[in-house]
Amino acid sequence: MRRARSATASAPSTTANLGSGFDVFGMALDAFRDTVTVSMSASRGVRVVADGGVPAGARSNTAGLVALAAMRMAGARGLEVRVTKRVPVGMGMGSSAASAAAAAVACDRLLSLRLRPAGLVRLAGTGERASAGAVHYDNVAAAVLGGFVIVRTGPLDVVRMAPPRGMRCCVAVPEVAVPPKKTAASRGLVPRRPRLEDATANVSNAAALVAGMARGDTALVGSAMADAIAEPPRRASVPWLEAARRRAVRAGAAGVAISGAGPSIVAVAPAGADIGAIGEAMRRGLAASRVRCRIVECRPTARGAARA
Amino acid sequence: MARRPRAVAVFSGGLDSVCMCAHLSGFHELHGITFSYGQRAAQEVRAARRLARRAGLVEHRTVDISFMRGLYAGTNVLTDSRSRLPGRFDYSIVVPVRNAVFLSIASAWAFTIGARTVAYGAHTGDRPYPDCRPAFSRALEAALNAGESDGIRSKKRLPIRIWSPASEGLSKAEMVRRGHAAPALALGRRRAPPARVGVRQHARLKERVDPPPLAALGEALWLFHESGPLA
Repeated sequence: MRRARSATASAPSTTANLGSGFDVFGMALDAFRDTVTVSMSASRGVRVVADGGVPAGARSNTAGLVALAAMRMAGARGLEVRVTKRVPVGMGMGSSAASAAAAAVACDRLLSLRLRPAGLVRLAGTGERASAGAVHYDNVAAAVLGGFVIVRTGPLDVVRMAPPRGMRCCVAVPEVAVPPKKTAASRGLVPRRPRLEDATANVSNAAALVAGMARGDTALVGSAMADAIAEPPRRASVPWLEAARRRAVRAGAAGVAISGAGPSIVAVAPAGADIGAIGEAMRRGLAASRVRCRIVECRPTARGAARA
Repeated sequence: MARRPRAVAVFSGGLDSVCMCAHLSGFHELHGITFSYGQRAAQEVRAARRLARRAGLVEHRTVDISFMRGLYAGTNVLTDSRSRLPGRFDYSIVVPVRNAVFLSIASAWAFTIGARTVAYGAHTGDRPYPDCRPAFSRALEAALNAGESDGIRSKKRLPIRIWSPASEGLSKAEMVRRGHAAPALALGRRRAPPARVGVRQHARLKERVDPPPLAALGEALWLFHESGPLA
């Protein structure tokens, strides 16, 4: 049998942290999917063909880095990586993770790596280094596996759960210029040594959030998104958060948090909530800070990275 | 201060609609509508009146469409008092397009008061009834919005969506659990004792809310399966 010359996979947008789970929680959202096609190439090394303003050098692109790592694992000669970006870049919707996850699954298929889910997460994580500066698995794990994930490190382990049935999400993507290396800059604001009371508050909320996911209780999930560690120092760079949160909750959202490193914010709402009204409320909240935004209504998705 | 989004709920006063309304009233300004359509169970209408406030409705209306009884004649046993009720599901208990009639009237009210959601209590266990299936509610939603398309385009009307637990894949048990947790019902968490009739009703509710051990076991197994470590 001749080996396939190319493989294509897609992976979903994701939201990380969900407030209390800094670097721990991730959830796949069905709003957008990045598609990556990896092909065997006669020329040595990795060549990246990207659209949508993503860096095209193999080493500065998440999908390219994943392909490099996979190529080393398989001992292949050269690969061509074609990225079709649909996840908005630099907005806190896991854009780099979606490309990395799709690339990992495509490479796994093309090179017959036969990686297990944890291996795929680890491979996709090598791509995150390009955009975040260091490896954080919250977005990539959700993009690879779908659903809601809890990332444990040392050693890496990912616990996957199904979010409550009927849960809706609404992401407000502000139309603002994002500085380069945004994630690294945003991370720099978070205190290295949080106060014990704040850590206690976050542990209690994170635990309650997981209980809410397990019980299918979106109200509990939403109320447990409160974050005492990363959010307070980041409020200055997301000044519309409070106004948007107040209005969204009034309109039926269970909770609102910064999506990943921002500047997008994400609201979760229970089955039956008027997601259009919540989106409108968030739009008004941002408008109070004279910021326009794009509202993305979506749902958590169980479909992680998969062949397209 | 922004207003909560408005919604209209078809409210029979039965377990499904009480739990659905209790759940939805947590994040909607909920207006309930009960139909007296000549059904045998006239106590249904009385129960709806009694439970409206407990279910979190800010307004409750009862609409008399009992002339439907004459039109339905002998098609079904719910409006025809001469035939007997069957012991289990039989097409004789299907009232022709009952939910289409209810939802059309409820939607007319929704378009009038600017409610964007029209809810009814169909859940996944209601599959034997074609007008409880998501395919039906989607089609009716499209038809009703088409019937107001010019008003919607000129922003004189808000488009509606027809929502039901079935449209989210929620079962009766899941809906009851959500209703049980909702602040409106807050079973056993109220300071003031509820009215006498309310107590009886809720004692009955509570019996059915506590999940049987087998279901709990199934849920635990499912969680174990879903969240097992990967490596």
